[in-house]
Parts: sequence; structure tokens; C-alpha cells
Amino acid sequence: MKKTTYQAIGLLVVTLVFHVILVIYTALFGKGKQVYVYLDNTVSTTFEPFTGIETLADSALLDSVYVKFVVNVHMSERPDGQPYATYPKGLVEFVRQGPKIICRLSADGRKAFIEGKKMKRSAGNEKSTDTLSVDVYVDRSFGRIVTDPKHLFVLSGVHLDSLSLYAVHPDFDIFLTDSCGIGKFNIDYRRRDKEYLSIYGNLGITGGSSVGDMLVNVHNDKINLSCGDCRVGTLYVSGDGGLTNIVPDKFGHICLRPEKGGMLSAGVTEITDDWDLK
Amino acid sequence: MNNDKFLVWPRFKAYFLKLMREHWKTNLVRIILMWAGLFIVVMWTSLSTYDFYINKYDQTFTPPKQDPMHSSEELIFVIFLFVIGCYWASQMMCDMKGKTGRIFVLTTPVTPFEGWLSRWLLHVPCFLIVFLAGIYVTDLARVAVFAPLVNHAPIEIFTWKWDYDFFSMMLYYAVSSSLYVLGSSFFPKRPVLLTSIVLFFVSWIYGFAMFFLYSGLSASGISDYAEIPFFVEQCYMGAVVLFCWWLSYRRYKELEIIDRM
Repeated sequence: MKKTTYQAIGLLVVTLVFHVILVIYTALFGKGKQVYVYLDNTVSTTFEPFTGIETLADSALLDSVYVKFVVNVHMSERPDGQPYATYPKGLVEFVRQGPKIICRLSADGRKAFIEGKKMKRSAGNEKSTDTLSVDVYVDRSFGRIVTDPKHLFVLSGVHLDSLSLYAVHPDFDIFLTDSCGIGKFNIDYRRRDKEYLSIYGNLGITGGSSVGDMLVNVHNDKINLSCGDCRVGTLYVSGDGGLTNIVPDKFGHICLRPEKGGMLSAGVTEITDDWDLK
Repeated sequence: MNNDKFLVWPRFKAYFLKLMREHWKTNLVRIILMWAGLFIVVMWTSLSTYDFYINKYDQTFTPPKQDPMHSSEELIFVIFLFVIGCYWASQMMCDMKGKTGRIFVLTTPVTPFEGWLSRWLLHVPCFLIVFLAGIYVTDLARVAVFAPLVNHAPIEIFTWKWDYDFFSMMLYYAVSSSLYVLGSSFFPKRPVLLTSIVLFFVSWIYGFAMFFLYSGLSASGISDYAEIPFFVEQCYMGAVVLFCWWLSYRRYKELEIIDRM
């Protein structure tokens, strides 16, 4: 064979060897290795009793890294009923502000997400890594939630006389599960421009939960209701917008009260008994 | 008489012009085919893209800020650059297919470097110039045809942005075309086919080697990888381009009447 044939084969071999060395070198000594944020490294903080919680996690930032912010609300299991919260260390912080607490990303947490650090759970923990979940344990004086868009609130086994929820954006989900009992549940979606009409929020009452009076105030929103195993005394819908997937069997009364000059739409489903409308 | 000098300008110029004149028909057909292909593909895509803005547009849509054809045009041009660029580069030694052609090349009184350089100029830089001229002519035609028809989208002339991505793309083009330049001097008879087959098998070998390397590393407990430094990779690519051109010149120098590996 000619000399150049060997040189060409040499080029192919050198390229292969170069890449193998490069990979091994970066695997062993490379800088800028992926740094993980461990989600199951949690801490607990106790609070004096508070009446409300406000979430201010930066949803645009969390959205850009495909992370969902989930707040699980439970009743405090401590004998003295003191409220506390369990959350991933270093990512989330709680700030007391008068009667309420504010839950938001800490400076380190924001920095971690901006730098694109990946979230991870320690070996053996199979839970998903795309949710940043916070557990809040409340006492009976709790009664108000204010929230940013795209957060998920899960209330499990919570018994409260009244709960009012103020949603800044309808693209937000709240679920009641595990036999929640709420006397008066007041949900207020903030007034917004019509251009966001197609955004849906989810409002779920499941798992044997019961609500006495449920007041939903919509403003150009389309809210998707999901009624599982639940019981609601009276559903009042007011404002200007829509509520879909109402299962009439689960409600004692349904009252629609459109605001002046507004229009309400209510979608009903799963009608198994005779049901007369006027 | 200038005997055995590396590069003599008048002789080089004469040889370059001779090559151009000898192959002008083939090259003209290639250029026309390439321009016609570009023209048809761009016009066809424009028709389907602008159809929405001409017929189905309604005032509720916000008008696009950028010409909607630019992204698809960029893709079309890159595909043409790579496919036709590699084909063009592989035709560098096309006049050495048979014995007669090789005798003809060997007996032409130019130094090997002059012979190689004039071929390289014709098949790499000249191709780029013709190609860039082709895309601008096509684009001008597109703007001239569609600008009066489309009211709801800005119709602008396509320009490459002189950024890092453009530089990387040109580097990838240089690597692939230099591999085909090398292939054409190794297999002057069937350059496209044989170079592609060799590259196919080589990439399989590389793929297997990398697969076993990564599985070996993860078996030994290394699962977090740093990113491979891209700058080093690109420097290596630049070196490969220069080496391929040099090797192709070396191979050209070793040209014989009988075809041996």
C-alpha cells in the first residue's frame, strides 16, 4: 500500500483515539460537571399560627425549566397544633408577614434554576423530579390562600370553617382530597383582560371531601371543575366567565349570578337522574 | 523554462484556465442544475408558506415580525450546501478516472502542487462563490415574486448572520467537503459512492467505540459527565480539514498510471 493510505488510516485512528481521550478526560477531570439539587433533602420550620399563605414562586422561571410548584396543605399533626412546613433545603424560603406567611424561592433556589441545575432525588426515591413540592401543616385558624399562576395546591384532609382563595391567574390548579371538610369555600379569580380567555384552571373536589357553600367568582375565566367523590351544599357562581364539568348530583343547589352586563356559562355533565331546568 | 519549481504564477494561471475551459460544459450543467434545484425548492416552499398569509389571513392574527420563509430557507440552503458541496468536492479528481486521463494529467508540464491547487480552487472556493451567488439570485427572485402578493408579512431578503452558528456551519461544511476531497483522490473512479461507504462504516465503528466507552465508564461508577469542550473539538476539526487537504495533495503527488491503493 502507498504511504498516503497508511496516513489516511492513521487519521481515522487518531480521530478515534482523540475522542476517547477527550471523553475519558472530561469524565474524570472535566470542569463544569452537572451539579444536582437534591429535592429530598428537606428541612422543617415551625411558625406561630398564621391565617393565610401566599405563594410567590417565580412561575416564569420555573416554567422555563419545566418545574411545577406544588403546595400540599395538611392539618398539623403535632399535639399542640403548631403549624409547620417541610420543604427542600435551600430552594424555598418562608417569610412571615403579619398574619400570613409568604412562600417563595430563596435566592439560592433562584440561582440554581437560573444556572439550569438539574433536580435529583437520592437513590431509591422514585418520585418525579419535575415537581418542587412544599408541605405546609396548618391549624384551624388558617383560611386564606393567595397564589401565583401555574402553581398546584393540594389540600388533603383539611378541616376548616372557611377558606378563601385568591388566584392571580386562572391557570392554576387546586385539589381537595382525603376527606377535606370546608364550611365556606370562596374562590376569587382576579379580573383580567379578555385576551387570556382560552386559559383553563382546574378546580377539583375529590376523595370524599365535602364543602358547605362554595362561591366561585370568575372573570373572563374558564374553570374546569372536577367532581370526584364529593358533596357540596350550594354552588354559587358569579362574575363573567364559565365553569365546566359541573356534576349536578353532587351539588345541593347551583346558583348562577352573572355580574351586571356580564355573561356566565355553566357546563353540566354526568346527569344520571331526571333533572329539570326551567 | 521553469523546471520543477513549487509554484510559478503564469504557469499556474494558464493551467487553471485550461482546466476551466476543458470542463466548462460539465460545470455549466452542474451550476444550472444546482440553481434550478434551489429555485424550484425555494419557490415551492414559499408558495405553501405564503399561502396562509395571502388567502387565509384574518385580522385576529398578529403579523409575524420576521419573514416566515427565512427559517425554512436557511434549512434548504444548509442542506444544499452540504449535499452539493460534498458532491462538488468529490468531483475534484474526476479527470483521472481512467488510464488515459491519468497519463494526460501526468504528462501535463505543471508541478503537482499547481495541479492540485487549481483543482482545489475550482472545487472548493469557486463552488462556495457559485453557491452563494445562487442563493442570492434565488432569494431575489422570491422577493420579487412574492413581495407584491403578500401584504400581511414582511418580505425581506435573506442574509446569513455572521455569528458563531454560521462559523460552526462553515466549519462542518469544510470538514465534510475535505473528507470528500480526500476521498476523491483515493477513489478517483467512484468518489461519491466509495467515500460515502467508507464514512458509513467508520461512523459505525466510532458509534460502537463510544457506546462501549460510555457503558464502560458507567459500569465503573462514573455517571456525571462534564460537557466535552466544544472549542477543543472545533480546533481538532480545523486541524482535520487542513490535514485532509494536505493528504489529498500527497495522494495527488503519488498518482500513477495503474490504480493502486
